[in-house]
Amino acid sequence: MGCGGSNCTPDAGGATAFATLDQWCQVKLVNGDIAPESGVTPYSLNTPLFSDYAIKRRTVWMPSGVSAAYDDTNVLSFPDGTVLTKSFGFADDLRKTQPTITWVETRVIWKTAGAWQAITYRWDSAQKTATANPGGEVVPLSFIDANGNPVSANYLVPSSPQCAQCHNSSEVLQPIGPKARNLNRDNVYPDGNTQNQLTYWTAKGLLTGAPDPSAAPKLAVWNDPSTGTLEQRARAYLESNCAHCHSPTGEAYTTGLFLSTLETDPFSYGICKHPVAAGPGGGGRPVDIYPGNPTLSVIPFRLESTEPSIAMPQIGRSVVDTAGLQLVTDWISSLTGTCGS
Amino acid sequence: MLRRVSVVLLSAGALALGACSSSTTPPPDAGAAVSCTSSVPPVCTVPAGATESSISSAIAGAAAGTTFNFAAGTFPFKNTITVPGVAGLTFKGAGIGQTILEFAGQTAGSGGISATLGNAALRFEGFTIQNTLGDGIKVEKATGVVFYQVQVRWLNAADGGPNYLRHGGYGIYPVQSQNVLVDHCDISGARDTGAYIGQSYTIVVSNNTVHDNVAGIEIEASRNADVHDNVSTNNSGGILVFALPNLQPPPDAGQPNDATNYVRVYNNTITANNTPNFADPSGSVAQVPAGSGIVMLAANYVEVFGNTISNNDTLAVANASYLVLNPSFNPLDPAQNPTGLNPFSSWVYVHDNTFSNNGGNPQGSNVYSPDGGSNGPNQLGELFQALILYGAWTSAPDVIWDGIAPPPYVAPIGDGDAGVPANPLTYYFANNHNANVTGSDWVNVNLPKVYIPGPPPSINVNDLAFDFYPFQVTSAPAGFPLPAVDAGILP
Repeated sequence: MGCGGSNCTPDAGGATAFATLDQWCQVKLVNGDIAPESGVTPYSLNTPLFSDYAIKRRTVWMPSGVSAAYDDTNVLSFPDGTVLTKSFGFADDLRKTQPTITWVETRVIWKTAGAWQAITYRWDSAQKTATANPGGEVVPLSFIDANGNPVSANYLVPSSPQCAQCHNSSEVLQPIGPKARNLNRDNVYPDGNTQNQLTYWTAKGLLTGAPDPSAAPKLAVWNDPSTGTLEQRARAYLESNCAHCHSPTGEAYTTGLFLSTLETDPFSYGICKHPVAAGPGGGGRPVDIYPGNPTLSVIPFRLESTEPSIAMPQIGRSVVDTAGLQLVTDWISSLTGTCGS
Repeated sequence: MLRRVSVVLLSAGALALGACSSSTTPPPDAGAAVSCTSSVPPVCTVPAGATESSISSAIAGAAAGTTFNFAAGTFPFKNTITVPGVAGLTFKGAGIGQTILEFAGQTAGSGGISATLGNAALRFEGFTIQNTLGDGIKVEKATGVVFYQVQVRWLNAADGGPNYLRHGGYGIYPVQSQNVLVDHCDISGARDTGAYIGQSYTIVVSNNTVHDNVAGIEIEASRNADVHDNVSTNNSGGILVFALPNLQPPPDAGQPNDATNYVRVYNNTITANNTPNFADPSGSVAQVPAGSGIVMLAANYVEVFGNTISNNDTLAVANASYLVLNPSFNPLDPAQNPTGLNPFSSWVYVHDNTFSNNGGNPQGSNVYSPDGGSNGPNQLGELFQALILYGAWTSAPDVIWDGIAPPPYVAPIGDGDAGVPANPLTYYFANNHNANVTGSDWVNVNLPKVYIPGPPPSINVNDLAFDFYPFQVTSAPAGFPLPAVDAGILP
């Protein structure tokens, strides 16, 4: 084991977290970017969570001989020993094609003895070592956005309980992203090949039971109109940014607002639904989504705010995702109908 | 051999470094550190000057049963303190005003303390938490939670200042919980409710002082609650007992829907709750007219007794239906009312209270808004204002009812009480002192009966007719007195 050297072996972890990221042997920094260690598979999502314009790198690893079971709707059923990582870095200038990226944290979620655990590792300013940071930290950041405007963010490295707050399914810690519909996309692998992820995972022994990708559900890519209608893309955006809490098994189930793309009841996904316990977050607007009228709708109000008592999601966003806000606003504008009162 | 660091006992001061690290990394912020005993359960000492990093790390890794003893001093936080979902945690300070958790510099998270991961036997005691962005302390899905001698406050001006949005919705906010005790707390400045208990059961709210909030205390979508010996003053509304449709019921099989049942409000002092309603207009609490003492809305089996209710400019005690807030609501439509909530208050027994000087200046619309705009139409306020100003009495009634009754008790507009049984919603009134009465105790305004689907009716004071119901009883009606909450099962 090389502890971040060239010949380490990925480790499944145990009951407690390693003190430093390199001990997991899942990812390393190579030429300023996160690279998977040997045997570790990178993956990407159709519509990811917005995190203050962070650049993200995701990996999955399982011990040999075990694999995840396919699931049509829920997160894949991962075996004990699975290690997922997600690294968050910030480009100095989002207009650059080869920006300088400062890596802030790498989160590790691993499954041991039937339960998931989570911790994050904070990269040092020298970008040499990432050290466990269970207490979390607010990191002031500044960068240039895609329009050339300077952005100041208060990026949150979450505490361990804050990890559990979002990764919460009926009080059980769970991954969020790796659902079939969000994984069902092509990925470019380190060897240069491009392949559908469900196919690749199956070929690599990471996944069993998956149908042909054409028969699997597929989430729209929020910012690619070729992948879905305005409604499909807006709802994909709301799912990935909101449904981890706004689901019947998430923290915000008390609100009755459920934002998964699988939710079919318009009232439940906000159409003409009065906010519950929103406090100042209601913005004086009568319903979560007023068809045709974004200015009467609570959801855009919460997406366009950076006030922590108002902004949604509650954790992980300190600047406005202007493109995401525009998408949701456009969708609400496109809706027809009226609300009773 | 690889070294592992135990998340359980990790604190910044004791952070173990990996065997392969080439350099030592200092803690993110230097300062005093939390220290924990190795006993089971551990006791963690939080000294004056302990850093947020040290405190949050220790809390993140807390083992079951850990007590955190905060020294006197002010502890600044930038991020929400998020409590892990382990049992038996206690957060104890040196007393209100002695240990201060200061969130004026908060830049991340939402709220001050968040314990939403399903804690058992959780206790907060002896500290002040102030200026949080969002709620003060939110607890969700707890089994056994105590707030004792906790102060929650916002010090920046609520009225007219630029910071009013920063006043959280709720001061103390247990939701979806059971066995809840809020005792000897002091809560002020909330832009919704000081002590809000929702979607929960087995609740005692006692000996608290709640002031300068929109609502002082609210019990919502909950059952088996005793609210007693509190002082609620200078809020917009003193004590609310509400149910609303589309809320999740409490987390057990004992209650099929989101109704509010079996609430005793007794021996409270509810006085001068005349602060302009500064709630966000979206919420139902924005509908509470300033100057309200006790308002029940869609609540059943409520006993209000032994309270001193004085100097509330609009009303002392009111019963209302959810239909006042949402006249187009059809309770029979499963899409609108999936849990089958009864939108009418019923079985309300108000007795042995002392009233004085209420209703002298009834407030209708909540035209007040801190940002200069209107706080929106307020049908509840307008209705009660019209009723109170009707003029049939020289002093306003202390106990009023919106007059909306369920089928078959439908009275046409303007015919007085013709066709309406004497007491369709089982309201009872007995032995109150100094109550303002004009021939009877409960008054009622007949409205179009709006439970029938169709266009919402407008409320026009010229269409109102007033009935006077002698709901006076000389002995407790059936079902009363309500049983006390079983304090033995409180933590």
